[in-house]
Amino acid sequence: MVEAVEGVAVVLAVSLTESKAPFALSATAPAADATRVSIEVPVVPPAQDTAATPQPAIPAAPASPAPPAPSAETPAPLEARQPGLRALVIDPGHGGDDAGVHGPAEALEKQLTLEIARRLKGLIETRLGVRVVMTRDDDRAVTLDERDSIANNSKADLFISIHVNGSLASKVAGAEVYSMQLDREGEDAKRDAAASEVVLPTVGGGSRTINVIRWDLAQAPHVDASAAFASMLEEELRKHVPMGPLPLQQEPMRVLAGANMPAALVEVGYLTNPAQAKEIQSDNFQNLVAQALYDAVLRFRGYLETVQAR
Amino acid sequence: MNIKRLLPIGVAVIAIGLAAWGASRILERVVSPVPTQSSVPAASAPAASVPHIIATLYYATEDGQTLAAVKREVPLAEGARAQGRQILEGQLAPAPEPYLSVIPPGTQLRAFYITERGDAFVDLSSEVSTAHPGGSTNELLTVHAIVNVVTANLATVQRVQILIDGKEADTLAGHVDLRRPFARQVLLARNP
Repeated sequence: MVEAVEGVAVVLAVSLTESKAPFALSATAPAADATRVSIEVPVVPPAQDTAATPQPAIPAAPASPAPPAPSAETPAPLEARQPGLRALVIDPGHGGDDAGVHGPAEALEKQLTLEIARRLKGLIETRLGVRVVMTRDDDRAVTLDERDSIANNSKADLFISIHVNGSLASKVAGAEVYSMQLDREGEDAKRDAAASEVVLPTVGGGSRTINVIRWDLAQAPHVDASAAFASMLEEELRKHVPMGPLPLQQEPMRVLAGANMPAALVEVGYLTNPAQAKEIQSDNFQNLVAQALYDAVLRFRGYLETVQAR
Repeated sequence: MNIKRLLPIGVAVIAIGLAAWGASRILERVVSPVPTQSSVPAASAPAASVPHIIATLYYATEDGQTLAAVKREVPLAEGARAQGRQILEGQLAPAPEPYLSVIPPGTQLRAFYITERGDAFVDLSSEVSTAHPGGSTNELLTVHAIVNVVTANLATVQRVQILIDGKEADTLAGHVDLRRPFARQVLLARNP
């Protein structure tokens, strides 16, 4: 299941298939010249009340900007967590030293992604009652592995990465959505995911089944659900904002590869188009994008419930 | 001198001249020096005496959305590895009008090698990342162009991995996963 490769860090993403109870994983490396690393997987009994599950610290929502008004088709706020979609990770692209695409008048991708992410977070928390985790909530550098780690450790059900695009041609404009494209190794991992189940005894008796998959292939079992989510994102964005020439694509996107949950990356528009750059910085455009992403999340919640009911 | 005796000699001289001219043209096509008025421009400014081949290089179209496969001359080299170096050097040179280069300016080819399994490694200087303009579209075009230019011109290459400053890299600008090699069929979709 895990090959010993000299000089290579092997990271495992663990998926719980029978319970979503808290789960701890620790690795110990012996002497520096040792050739083996042991990994201990302590197992705790499943929580009786999933609502009491400890949650990671969620960055405080900003005082501004305010989320847009609910649309007619949006349901009323829900107090209880819904089955199917319990936690969502929003990933504002870039940050810190990595400014992303530079637009006119010092507009930076890293700032715009954070602004849109905050609007989406406010919408989802207030209207869906779903726990939201941000991979960053200020201007800091977060590596792509750290973003995946935050998502996987949060045991989120959905991951959405927000970006602003750039083109060599200044006329290009419009939003685009990406989901993960697997190579041959990824296809093998997807096929073998079910076969990689490990049954472990629990402290209180009984057993629990977990799936073990390499971190860089963690997205493999979720590509179909991710493609479905990407389609929903594209359809909802199309209702609100202009779409780019290639609105829906599957590519080997690095931040999606390690997400052990359905995941998609959204490029909300082109910062290299002067007219669109001005638009992307406006409250109206950012609210429209947040609304579109919210609507897609809402649809995907229904998709998850349907799949889980089978 | 008798004209009847000179006529066959003249015909023979002309025939030999035509044959020599034809043979030289055939040789030129096999190992082609740069023609002065060529419809296939050279990717870089080579010495006139250096034989060349015609390679397929990849540039962004004017709309910045897709890659165009453009035939250009690059110096002939001995063996796939050396030829690959010449082709990549041509790819790193400025794009011909009206196309746009998808490789950041200042990027240098540090090394190129091919394993027995057909895995090619393209080792580029750090400018390919530090000078990259960013954005998923730009980054995909850069990666696709590098992978395409190797796989389209070197039949023995099955997969391509991009290295930066001799090391494996995560991404060029935060989007496309570079940790594993790209198979040739994966990246041809963006060709026009």
